[in-house]
Parts: sequence; structure tokens; C-alpha cells
Amino acid sequence: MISTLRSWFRPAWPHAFIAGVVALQLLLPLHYYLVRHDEHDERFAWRMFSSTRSLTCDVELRVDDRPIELGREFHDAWIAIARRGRRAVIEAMAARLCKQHPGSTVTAFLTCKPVRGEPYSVGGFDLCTIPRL
Amino acid sequence: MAKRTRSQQRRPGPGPAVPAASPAATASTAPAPAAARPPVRAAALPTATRGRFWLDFELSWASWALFRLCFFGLHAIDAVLQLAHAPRYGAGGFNVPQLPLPLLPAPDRTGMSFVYGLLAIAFALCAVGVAVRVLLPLAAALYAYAYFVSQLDSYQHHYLMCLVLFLLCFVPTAPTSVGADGRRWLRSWALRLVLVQLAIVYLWAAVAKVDPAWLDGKLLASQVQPGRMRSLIDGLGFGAVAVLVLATEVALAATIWHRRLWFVAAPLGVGLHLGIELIDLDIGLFSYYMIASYLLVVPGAPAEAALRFGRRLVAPLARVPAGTALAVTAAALIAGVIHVLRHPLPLARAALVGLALVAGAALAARRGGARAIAGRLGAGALAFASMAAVLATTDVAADHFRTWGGASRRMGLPSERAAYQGLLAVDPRSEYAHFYLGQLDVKAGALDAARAHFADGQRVAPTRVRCYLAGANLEAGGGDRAAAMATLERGLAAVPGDPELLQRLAALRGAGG
Repeated sequence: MISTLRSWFRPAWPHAFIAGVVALQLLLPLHYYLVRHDEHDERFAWRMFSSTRSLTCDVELRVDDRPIELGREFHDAWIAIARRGRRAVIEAMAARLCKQHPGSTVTAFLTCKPVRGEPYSVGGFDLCTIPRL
Repeated sequence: MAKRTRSQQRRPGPGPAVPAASPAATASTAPAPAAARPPVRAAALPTATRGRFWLDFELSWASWALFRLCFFGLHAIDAVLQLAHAPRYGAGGFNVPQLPLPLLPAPDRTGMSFVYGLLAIAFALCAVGVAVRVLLPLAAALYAYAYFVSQLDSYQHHYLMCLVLFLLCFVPTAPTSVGADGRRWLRSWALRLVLVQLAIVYLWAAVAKVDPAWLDGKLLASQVQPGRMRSLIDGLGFGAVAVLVLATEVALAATIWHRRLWFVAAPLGVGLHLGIELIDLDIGLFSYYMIASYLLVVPGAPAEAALRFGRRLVAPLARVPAGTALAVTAAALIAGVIHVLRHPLPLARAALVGLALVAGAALAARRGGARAIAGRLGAGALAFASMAAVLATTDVAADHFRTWGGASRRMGLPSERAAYQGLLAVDPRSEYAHFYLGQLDVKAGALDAARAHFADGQRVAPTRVRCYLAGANLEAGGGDRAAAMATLERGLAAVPGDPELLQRLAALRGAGG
């Protein structure tokens, strides 16, 4: 029984595997273009040297309207990623501050400057109650 | 995972393929003896394009061996270079993973140092063909952990390398056939899939560049550093070069996976990645990885020549008596392990696990006799030596401790002192470490220790004024105005006319009436 199953699957498995890998790699980047909530997050989309990568954002986090010194709370490498506008990281930073300051409001303000076009702002609301930017 | 050599049914081609090596053979073994070769095919040319697209993809063993040496060798070096970044993982207890994988252990400095250290050893062993069947899946898993555990790794090519390493696990570890001329061949659908994967990357990279900011050259202009390459591109026009890059990526997507078009893909791809390297972007070893990948698509003849040259180079080693070879390689391995164990970076666990891997590989080769064991031990010694060489010739270790110390200071973490002490262990002439250790000692009230650090800082970097100023402040704070003024005067002798030293000296003289 097992050997019969093996004989069925042996010739098929590389093809199924190959088809899966190719399909996944062809389709996964589409997630960025069609579905992804954060256009600043280009992971898994093979967008090398893209205009989004050149974008810079001013990031400010406030607890009860008092600005937080980001460098005292988070490693410089995380701040650099936040300055690329990656929302998941900023949301995680805010979540951490919410945990550290229960009952407080934590607000993120991003002002992003793209290579082309006008600067735009993101955030400005309490991320402890609405945790997604 | 990858199968060892086994006989495979060939599709129509110039001749029948034959199994090249016995089931016990591995990639690191010598070619199958001629007497053991059954009938061979009439011509030595690859036949993959005439057979099944995936299953009959074939490459000369020499091309694969050369690719393996360069590709995994680069990975071994890159893993050591990544040690500089290990301290940022888990700093302050904060991390955001690439994917929500709660079962992955949270990263920290010592854990990531272990991963990178072990990767360096495993990749170096893979590069020379030792225990590839076991080590490559292990390395692929560790590499995937290092990438997916944190969004701190934002290099897209590390994601690409995760995929490529995973696919390479399915490549057989020994030749699958031998030609009439004795050349060995490797048949693997996984290698075809690697090339298709690269084509997909080029395709999507080109799609991302269909963007006005790229097409008008503005984006390219914003990314190219000043220098000769910038002048060259400026001469051609940034817009024209941007369109050329896009066209090249489309061409590579269409050609890299197709053997008959490799004569187009190889020069285009190598040229593109050399150009990218020359414009000095912060992309780590990406260009080198890609150039190494093109070894899969260059004709087999140069690779055969390189392999023959390599064999000639190591031929004298075959004349060394087996016992001597065993003793020398074992001694070299032990020396390498001790060197890494004693290094200030947290590499002890990686060194011990790496040693266990080498010992396992040597044990597995025991049926080949003392010379086979010596070969495995020699490869292990090479792995440890290459790690030690990269550490000795780069600032990786110093950067590791400097960034750890800096982040600890800014974030007020208790690890600050350990970081500076580590920096001093790596670089006893670090004025930076002496200055901040002195500051920590002042805060802790250990004034003699602080005084000693400031004096050492002045000695190792006589033209940097901050240790003179800190030393003077320490003496003045203790009420010894004369000693403070003497410190500043020493500074002025080393840095005549320095305004900060002059100002502080004037203030002290004024305070003294």
C-alpha cells in the first residue's frame, strides 16, 4: 500500500513542488500591489531601488501628548526603519508604549516626503485604542 | 532533501547517462574510477534542453563545484560580517518579526552571534563540499531563522538567499553522470528552479521600476553616490541609464533560465551587478552573490580549467603521509577552535557546535581511512581559519561592541560597561571605550579607575581632546586645580590652540583668582 502510494507520488512530487514555488513567487509580490495595507512595506515584493525605499518620514510618538525621545526607548536600527514609514514597526513601538503607560494615550505622527509629489501625514490618533495606523 | 548519486532514466539525448559514483560517494570524494564506469554517452555536451524542462536540467559538475565554492564561501564571509549587527537584535526587549511566528525564539545579541558564527562554519564546510547533505539544510534553516525572526534585516537579497538556499538543499551532492570524456555532470531540477527564481526576481524588479520617478532618472540620481560612476552615468544621462537598467532586468528575466540564451544572460547579468557594486550602494554582498550565481550559466570549460588548476594546487598534499596529514590538520583545527573560543565575541557555543559538526563529518568519513578523516579536519580548520581571518582583517568585532555600547548608553541599559570592556578586549587602543568607561567609573565613584581610563585615552589618541577635558573635570571636581590645569596643558601640548581646552584652562585660572 505504502509502496504504491510512493510510486504515485514520487514522479509527481517534484512537479507539484516546483509548481508551488513558481506560483508562490509569481503571486506573492502581487500582494504588495493589490492587498497590502502599508505601501511603505515592500518586503517580499522584489522592489529593489524603488521610489518607496527613498522615502523618508519624520516620526514622532507622544504619550499623553508628551513627545517621547525615541532613541531612549528603541534601538537606532528600529528608528531608521520607522523613518522609512513602515507601519508595522511604528504600531509595535506604540503597542510597547501603551503597555508601559497603561491608561495613557499614545499617538504617532508621521510626515513622509516621497521622491515625487507632496509630503503627506499619517497617524494622529490614539494607538492604544485603535492599534493600526 | 537531496539524494545522493543514483542512477536516473534519461530522456533521449546524445547518449545514455550513467551513474557516476557509488552510493557511498559524496561531493567531496574523488571521481568514480574509470574502471567502474559503465558505458558512457557519446558526447559530453549537456542535453537538458532536449529533455524534460525540469527533470533533465544538467550542469557540468565543475560549474557546480566552482559555484558552490564561491557562493557558500561568500556566505561564510557574510555570516561573519553580520556579527557586527548582532547587538541590535533584542536591544531593550523590542522586536518585530518578519512574519507572525510566535514559536521562533526571540532574538538577542548572543543568540544571533551563535547563529551567525555557526553559519560561518557551516557555509565554509559546504563551500569545500564537506557534509553538504547535512550542513546545507542546517545552514538554510539557520539562515531563514536569522532573516525571518526580525524586520531588522531589511536586505531583500537575504530573503532571496533564504529561497535559494532552500532550493539548493534539493541538489544532489555528487555527480549524477559521467561523459565519454570523463567529465562529470549534475542533473537537478532544483538548479533549474534556482534560475527560474532569479528570473522571477528580475521580472518583479523590472515591474517595480515602471514608475515615473525611476524612468525619468530622478530616483537613480538620488541613489548613486558621488564619484566616477556618478560622473559616467551623468554623462550618459540618468534617464537613459534608468531605462537601460529596466530593459536589462527584463532581458535577464527572459534569458537566465534558458540554456540557449545564457550567452546573453551571463554578460548582461554580470555587467549589471558589477555596475550596481560600483555605484556603492549599502547592499552588503548582494552584487557578489548575484555574480557568483552566474557561475551556473557560464560554459563548463572555464570551470573545468579552474577545477584542474585547483587540483594541481592541492596535489602536493596527496604526497604527505596520511599520519602526518592527520596530525597536522587536527592540530590546525584545535588551534582554530581555541582561537575562536578565546575571541571576545560570544562565539564559544558556535565554535563548540561547529567542532562537533566537523568531528561528525570526520567520523562519517572514517571508512575512507586516515586521509579522508584528515580532509574533513582540514576543511574544519579552514572554516575556523577563515572566520578568524575575517575577524582579524575587518572592524566587525569592534563595530559589534561599539554599536552595543552606543545603544546601551542611549537606552540606559546595564550592558554598557560590558560592551566597552569587550571593545577594549578587541581593540586596546580604543579611545572611545576608555572615554566612556571613564565616564561610567566617575558615575560609580571609582575615581582612580576613571583617572586611569582618561589617561589611557589621552595616551592612545593624544590629539582627541575629550579625555583631557574629562580628566581635568575629574581633578577639578576633586578639588585638585593644579592637576586639572596640568592635564589641560598636556592636552594643549598635543593639540596646540584647541579652543575647548583653552576655554577650560582659562576658566580654571579665573576660578583660582
